Amino acid sequence: MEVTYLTAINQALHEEMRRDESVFIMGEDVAELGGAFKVTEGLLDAFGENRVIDMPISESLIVGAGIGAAILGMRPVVEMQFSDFIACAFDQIVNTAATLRYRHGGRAACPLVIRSPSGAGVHGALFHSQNPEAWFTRVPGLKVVAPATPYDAKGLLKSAIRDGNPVLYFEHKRLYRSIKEDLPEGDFTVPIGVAELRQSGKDLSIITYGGTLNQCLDAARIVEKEDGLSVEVLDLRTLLPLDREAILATARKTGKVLIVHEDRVTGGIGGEVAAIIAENAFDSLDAPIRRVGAADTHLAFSPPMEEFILPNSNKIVEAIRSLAAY
Amino acid sequence: MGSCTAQIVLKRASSNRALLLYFAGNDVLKPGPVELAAQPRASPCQALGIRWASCLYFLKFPQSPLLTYVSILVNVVIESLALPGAGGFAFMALERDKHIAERALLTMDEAQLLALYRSMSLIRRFEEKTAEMYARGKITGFCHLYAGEEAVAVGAIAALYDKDYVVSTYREHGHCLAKGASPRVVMAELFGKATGISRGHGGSMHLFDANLRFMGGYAIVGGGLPLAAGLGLSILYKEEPEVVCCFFGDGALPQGAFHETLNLASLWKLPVVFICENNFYGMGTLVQNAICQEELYRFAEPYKMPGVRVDGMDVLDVYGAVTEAAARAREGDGPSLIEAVTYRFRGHSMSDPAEYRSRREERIWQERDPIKALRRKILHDRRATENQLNEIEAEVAAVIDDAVKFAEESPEPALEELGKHVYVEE
Ligand SMILES: Cc1ncc(C[n+]2csc(CCOP(=O)(O)OP(=O)(O)O)c2C)c(N)n1
Ligand SMILES: [Mg+2]
Repeated sequence: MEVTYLTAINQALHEEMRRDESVFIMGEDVAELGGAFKVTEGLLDAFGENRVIDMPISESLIVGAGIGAAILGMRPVVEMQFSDFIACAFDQIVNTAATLRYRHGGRAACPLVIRSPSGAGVHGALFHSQNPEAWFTRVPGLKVVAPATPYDAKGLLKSAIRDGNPVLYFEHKRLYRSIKEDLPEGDFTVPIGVAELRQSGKDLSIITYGGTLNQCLDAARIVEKEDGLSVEVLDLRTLLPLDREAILATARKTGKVLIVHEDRVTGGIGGEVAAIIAENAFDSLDAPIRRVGAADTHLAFSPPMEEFILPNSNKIVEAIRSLAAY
Repeated sequence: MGSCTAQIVLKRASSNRALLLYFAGNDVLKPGPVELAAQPRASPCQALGIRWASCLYFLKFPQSPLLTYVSILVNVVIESLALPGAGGFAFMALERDKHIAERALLTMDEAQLLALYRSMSLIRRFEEKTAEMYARGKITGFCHLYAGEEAVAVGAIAALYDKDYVVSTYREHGHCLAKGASPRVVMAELFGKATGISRGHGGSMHLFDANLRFMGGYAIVGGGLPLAAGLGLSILYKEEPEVVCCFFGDGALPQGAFHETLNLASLWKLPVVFICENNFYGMGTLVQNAICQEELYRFAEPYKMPGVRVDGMDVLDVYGAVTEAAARAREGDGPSLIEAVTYRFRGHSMSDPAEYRSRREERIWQERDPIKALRRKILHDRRATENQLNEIEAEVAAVIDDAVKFAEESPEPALEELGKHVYVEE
């Protein structure tokens, strides 16, 4: 059946809660209201208020309480209503959750999932638009995923819930209702740490994830038609740990790499991807690695300004052309 | 159809004490026979004739030692509709002597009263136009309206001097206008235009004007509170006779920032008036589902500061309480916590149909419209004529129309500004 990205997430939650009684949900307005975006709709009716829990506005507590429950073998899936508010829970995530296993010498685990809608393009201004994934991709002990398709949204969430570690799951809010896909019947998962080749090509590679995958595919279509360029598109899907092999394979294959993400260029995961390539596949490169991302500023409210700040398929097309011409 | 029992605990009722009972949550009140169950002290209430058509009851208790420090338990058995949504309901007792409001009404001259009326009307009109512009796609993004809560911002800010500071939330159009911002620049900000109060960078949730001492709306719930402490600290440091008025919603109380700030403000006697706008809901979550102590003003007790609950639909009651608290702060006696019980007439944001509350509940509160209430009061006491009030309405409507025109005609921010205003540029 064709389902939206949002429904795919909702299905994963339903199925995992049915499969495993230790899975439960906590967050602001997740129960009665079904979430600010309706991602958790229907779960309260299906599983009751012991397993779908409305929390006060207390992000630090929501994550911290999740950690506490996880230590005892529960599998909490907590929600940050917008990923911007994850900053309020930063200490619990990076200090408490990420280090838990290590600091107890491997004698404890924290199977916690933190879901949160990220991304811009809805005129949410500075605190309802951010892509905070790179705040976390340098913290050992965490895993970070960012699905770009309904299939991955469902499969990665299932994997995250079954994983024994704290997993940050960033879902792009612009994708919720804008993309649909036929999903197979029955249980399936998408492994954490494995990138997916969305399109193979020979002239150059785009490495991307999340909200910009479709823009990259659009751009690839345009340059194929107008310039006859054959572009390979790799969707990272997991940002920590990165799929180094897939990254290096595509870099070696085409010799030209463009990295695209909606997150800011400076400090974004693109820098790490570029470093991996530069360190390990320098000899295969025919051009400098290029990056397209949000401008190094804040996400303005003004709609034309916001558009100007964010990457889009036109900017990607331009970057592809200049890279191809190098 | 279910039956539902509400327990109203009336405490320390004494003469001249107005007792307001509020109702929130499900549609449990239905017109029809109401039984006041035979509880020890039920009779005074019965004698006063409680009208269940309204959720608001002013009970003036006769002077009676019996009633002082005696808890009266009234079991009210109400036929109720068990609706889905935010289960449960709340009766809120406002144990507050309204003599302050009454005195304010008497001591204010006509111009002051009309200024309050104008300020509230201006905000209402502004919000109505904002909704209209949103529906027409002129305003986008997340937008939270203040309609219904005008008495809180207007009453509180009228009790301050211009040099006093205001810190607000993301539902801050009203506070910003009450602090004196031109509707033009606020509307332009909502449109995201270069002429906006934050140059179109911030939008509805991030209004700011340091000249007006409007220190900003904060889209992070609880985010403004610690800043209020910092403002208070610098006021003390500079030995200025200024006060900070910090607004936040009931939803901010569970945040650590609230508790951290109240602790320090009390410890250091910071000149801050904390005003909690208790409108019963944080998005779709009822106060009593999020906060262990739903009498929010009682959070003042552990932090050793005065706490009062005021009628947030009565601009004079708010005015009176903030006048007292601000004077206290200015004299060096430290912070206060004021809980203003109020109601937002619209959903949480423009996209919220407010399915978690009943239309009936909304109607009940609309009957308590703070602007209409002040209008009635002014006319009843013959402090101004109907004509004068109508003229104000017309004038305000013209001001807002002008603001919309200004916003529409203003330019978008120049794209060359990209990257500017991130850092101070020498
Ligand atoms: C830290 C943080 N968490 C969550 C939100 C999302 N959010 C915005 S407003 C709101 C409800 C706030 O309710 P309240 O403080 O009572 O203010 P009201 O909207 O009633 O004026 C929530 C949960 C946010 N903006 N910031
Ligand atoms: Mg509220």
